[in-house]
Amino acid sequence: MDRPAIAVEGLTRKFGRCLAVDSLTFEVPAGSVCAFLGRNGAGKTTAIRMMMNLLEVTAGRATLLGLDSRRDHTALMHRIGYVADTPLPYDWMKVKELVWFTAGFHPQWNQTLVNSLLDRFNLDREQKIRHLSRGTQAQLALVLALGGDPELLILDEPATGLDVVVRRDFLESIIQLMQQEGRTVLFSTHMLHEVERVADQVIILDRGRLIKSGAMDDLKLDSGLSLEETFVEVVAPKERA
Amino acid sequence: MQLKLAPASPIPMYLQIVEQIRHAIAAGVLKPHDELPSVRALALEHLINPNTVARAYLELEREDLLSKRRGAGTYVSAQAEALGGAHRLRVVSQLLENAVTAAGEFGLTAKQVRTLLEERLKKAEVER
Repeated sequence: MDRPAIAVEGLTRKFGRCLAVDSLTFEVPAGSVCAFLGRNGAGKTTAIRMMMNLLEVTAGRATLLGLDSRRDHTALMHRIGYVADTPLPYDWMKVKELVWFTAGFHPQWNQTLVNSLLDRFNLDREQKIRHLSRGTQAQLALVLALGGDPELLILDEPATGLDVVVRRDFLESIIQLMQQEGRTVLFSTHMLHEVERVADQVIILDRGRLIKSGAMDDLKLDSGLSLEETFVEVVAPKERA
Repeated sequence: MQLKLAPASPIPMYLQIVEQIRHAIAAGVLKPHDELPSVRALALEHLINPNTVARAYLELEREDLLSKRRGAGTYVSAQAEALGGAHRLRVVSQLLENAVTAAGEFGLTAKQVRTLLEERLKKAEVER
């Protein structure tokens, strides 16, 4: 619990004149599940892509598992699982080929876990990626992210477009990962009710800036509000009647 | 014992668990030396963060309602029954307070409230 799993300092990204992420600073304690919230366009995906070194920063830095996200990128990729909000790459591969291909990048690959998850999600190993539905692709992306036995799992809108049953499978997988000491999960989502089930930390962005963060329990105890009420109050104060 | 959790409530989930286990002990649904589900099992059953369950158990251990046996799980403590008495009084007192508040808002007199309570108690006695 001593070293935070994620430490972001002054993270900033400009697109032309638009400040997509503005001096973002926060920490996520190791061993927690952190919900990364905000309306569409709040800067969640941009911030995550910078943390994953998939996008140049304009300023600032992200330290993941004690390592610099840019300088130590290769070492980090072995220890982080990531589910992007975009479709899977290499969509001409079969499921089993993409599994094999991904395993090659991970020294700690857990094929037993991957096999059991593929079975549980009823994923056909012979099917081509591009023939999978969006929900099935998201399941496969999660399986691949968990396969490397990650210390840190970063999920960008994993539940969007998934049906209730699949979303429950997702939550279950996250909870199973959390059973292991010191595992950390950060996920961005609009599904506030699911967040309230699993997240113990909350970060809310609005127009690129952090406007609320803290432990879920403290947030509720201090305000006497549900997460949804807090969310609406901080991101759309004027729109409330 | 079946927990009924409301994730969307303003009441933190760990407190909901604490309250419901306290209640089950006070009502005798959970008895001294009963074993509780493991943190892992309860978290998976309700699809909640294991940290939340662990925090609830820790809180109840602090109140001496639960005790952890090294490597053998979590149990209702021997003195839980005695401690449950305070909880019983507190819960009923709170419910009566709600009733009295409502009576005040509706303009019922103290006499009317007393009569209602007497009738209720008599009815409960008959049903028993």
